[in-house]
Amino acid sequence: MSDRAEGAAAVRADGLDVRRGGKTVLRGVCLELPAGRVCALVGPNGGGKTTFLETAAGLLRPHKGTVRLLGADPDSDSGRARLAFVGQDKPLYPRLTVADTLRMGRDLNPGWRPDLAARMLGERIPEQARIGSLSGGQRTRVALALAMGKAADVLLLDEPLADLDPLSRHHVTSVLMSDAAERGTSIVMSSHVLAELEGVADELLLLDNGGVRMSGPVDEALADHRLLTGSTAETAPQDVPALPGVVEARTRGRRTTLLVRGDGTLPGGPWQSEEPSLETLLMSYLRSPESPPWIACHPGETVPEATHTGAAA
Amino acid sequence: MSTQTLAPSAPVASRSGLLRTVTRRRRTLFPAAALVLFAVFAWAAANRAALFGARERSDACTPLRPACDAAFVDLMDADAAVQYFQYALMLLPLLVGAFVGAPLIAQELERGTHRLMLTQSLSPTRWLTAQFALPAAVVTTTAAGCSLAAAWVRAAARQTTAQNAWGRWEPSVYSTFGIVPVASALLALAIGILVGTLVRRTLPAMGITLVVCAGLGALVTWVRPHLLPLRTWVGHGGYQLKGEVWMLRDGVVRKDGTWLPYDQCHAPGGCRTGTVFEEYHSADQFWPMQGVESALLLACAAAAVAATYAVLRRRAF
Repeated sequence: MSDRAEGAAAVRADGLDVRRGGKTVLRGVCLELPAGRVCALVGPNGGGKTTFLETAAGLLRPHKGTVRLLGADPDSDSGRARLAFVGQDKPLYPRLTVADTLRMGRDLNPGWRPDLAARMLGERIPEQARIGSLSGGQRTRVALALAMGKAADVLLLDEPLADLDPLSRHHVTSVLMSDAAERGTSIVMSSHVLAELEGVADELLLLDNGGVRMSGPVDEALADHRLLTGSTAETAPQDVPALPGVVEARTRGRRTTLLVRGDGTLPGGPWQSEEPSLETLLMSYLRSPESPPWIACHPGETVPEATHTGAAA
Repeated sequence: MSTQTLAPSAPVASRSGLLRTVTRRRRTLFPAAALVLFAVFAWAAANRAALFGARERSDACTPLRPACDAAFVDLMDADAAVQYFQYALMLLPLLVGAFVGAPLIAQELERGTHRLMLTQSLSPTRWLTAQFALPAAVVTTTAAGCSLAAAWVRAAARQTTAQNAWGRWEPSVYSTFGIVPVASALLALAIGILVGTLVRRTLPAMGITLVVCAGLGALVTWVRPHLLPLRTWVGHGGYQLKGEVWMLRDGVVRKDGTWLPYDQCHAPGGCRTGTVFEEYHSADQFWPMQGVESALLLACAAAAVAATYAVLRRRAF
């Protein structure tokens, strides 16, 4: 935990309420994503992923609470200089060429790094092609190259891998990972395909219904939960869901499967215990909205300036 | 704010970089403006040639010969063509509003590209200012060119025809002459941008802009006579005002001292009195009125620009 106290979090939200079209999409979100890590932002459609990323990018103004990127307001010059954002629909100007689009990135960003942009773009996209003539996957690559070239400290990527073929997906993830490793970039990337981010992300953020369901390092999340399997006849499953620490109980025929927290009391009876897969873990939390959220480190506990007045708004 | 302790001067996009970006993005504006100016001057030159040609033929012909009738018809046609030319120029602000102004922000919002621009190293205000400035410069240049073309054609029409449709106060002359057309075009641009920002969809924004600009044009024409104080003349005979005046109302002064406009002389002998009154704008009020009207239009444009900033700052993207 001590590494978190040093320096500011990549993204830090305090009591964040965000409204969109008269509807509250994020409700009381408190979280802290440590700097220099790759964070997987997952959750069902409509869970608040896009709204969270757009708020963190300074595009949406919070109705209540604050969001800070490395301590800076994202809707300020210093915030904007530190972040790069790629929206879900990868907006680009269709009539500009690839080269024009990258020139635009150079013209609008003093810290522009053509080498970073070129690395993301790869070799197979013709520079003189108009954006409008590219395939969806190629457009995504250009949008990501524009974001990479900005050489930002925090990359906020909304579904960056959604329309990429497996080869491009591999290219993009490896470029992102090496950027994180070489420059210490903090990356937050959303996906509703959980498998996409397994092995890529070392930090996990699960948003559902406008709130945080899980937040913390992936390995801690996995280590902190057990998947228990037992015979329905021997374990009285009707009592099980009420026990503390049980996230989800499912009975299929004669077998009952429980996902429990490591710190929860194990219900009686003979159980087979194993570490859950990331997908099982996330699915269990999504299927049981009443279970308390899993948060590895509560925001505000470790950061010295936690008493500041941002959340009072 | 807690941000002031960080990065004392955050790196932001340079002005030249921003200018290059907007120029690249709006590069179709330049050929479009050049095309409009070329077309307007070509049409103006054709108008002048037709006027002078017809006038020359009618001067040279012998009266009561068919050739002379034909020359007069030509002259009338050339004269009508000048009117069409002026009407076309009066539509220019509408086209600017609908085709340049309305799509400007609406298209960005529709495509989501504002999210791209607003996450580069520049503030929303600077982005919007650059978005405004370049089209405003192009529109100013184009409208000024069209105003010169209109003056050029009007000069030829005044030399060649005896019509009094070319007085400076005629709505079709007034609106296409001097600085008013430039101010109207800028107002239409600002209205288009504001409507596009509010409506957020390009095609509806274009339609609404057309309607709003047409309405504003009618309103301005209606308000125009009241922009400056009317001059009055009371005396005997009437129609002795010198120079290009804009006669708004005239009639008789009755015995009891009340004024009765000529179009209300119903009673037989109702207007039989020697004293007449005339209310008018004098020739020396022309440029002040152009100035006042332009200032009014530009103030409205500034209000629309300010409203656009406010909407973009307030609204969720």
